[in-house]
Amino acid sequence: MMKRAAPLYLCLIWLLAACSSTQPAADAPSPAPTAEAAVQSTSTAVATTAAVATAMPTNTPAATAAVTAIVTTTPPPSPTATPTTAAAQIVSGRTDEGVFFLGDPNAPVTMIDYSDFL
Amino acid sequence: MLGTEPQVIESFVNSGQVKLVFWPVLNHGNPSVYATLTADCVGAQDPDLFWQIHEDLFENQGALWRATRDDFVAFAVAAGADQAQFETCYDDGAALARVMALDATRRERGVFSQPVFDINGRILGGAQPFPIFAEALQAALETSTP
Repeated sequence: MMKRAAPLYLCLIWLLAACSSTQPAADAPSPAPTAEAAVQSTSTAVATTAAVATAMPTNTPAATAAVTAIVTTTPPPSPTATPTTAAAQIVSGRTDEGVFFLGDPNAPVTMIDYSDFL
Repeated sequence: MLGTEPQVIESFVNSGQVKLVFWPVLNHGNPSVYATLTADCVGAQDPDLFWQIHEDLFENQGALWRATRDDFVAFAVAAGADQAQFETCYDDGAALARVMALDATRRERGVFSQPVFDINGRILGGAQPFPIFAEALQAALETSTP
């Protein structure tokens, strides 16, 4: 009986050994995410949000294109985009007489420029 | 007046001390009339655009003598105006009448040449260097009632 079962035991041992060798060690460190992986992760998050908001399946080409557009078209903030205080105060308009002015309508001094474009 | 205008704006207009007014003078026939009509119709859409095309027209002064309607439309669109609105204004006659009335008013005020500057009643004739404007504006500020 034991002699007939020996090959079976050997097969079981071999199978157990083979299976255990393909599993990673439970405490092995996972690789650090690369930049590409981070972008993919962000894209997935945006895609999920978009899918919830619009009920669009995330695996369609349109959804993928939308995600790509969201990820790639966001411009970085420009350091010169904020207008200066002085520039923000300039007012332009038209007087009751029908001519155009620039500056504070109630400025203490008015300078009228009578000019021809030619 | 383009030469010293940026300095006047930077030194006196931006600070709220001076209001700068452009009053059209039509002393050179149809080119003057249609350049001014163009500026008026662009400004009717947005006064900020008036000051843009005011600069554009002065910078291209030499081209205005032979400018056609299409050229003025191109100026207007380049300045940021809506083309259809501009063309309606340019053609309907009301803006043309307004421009001609402004020109008549300046003649009634005794202004017959250009440029002429009226700074709170003090008249300066001809293109002057910035220090002359600065002195006149400063004097007007000192005598103006707060």
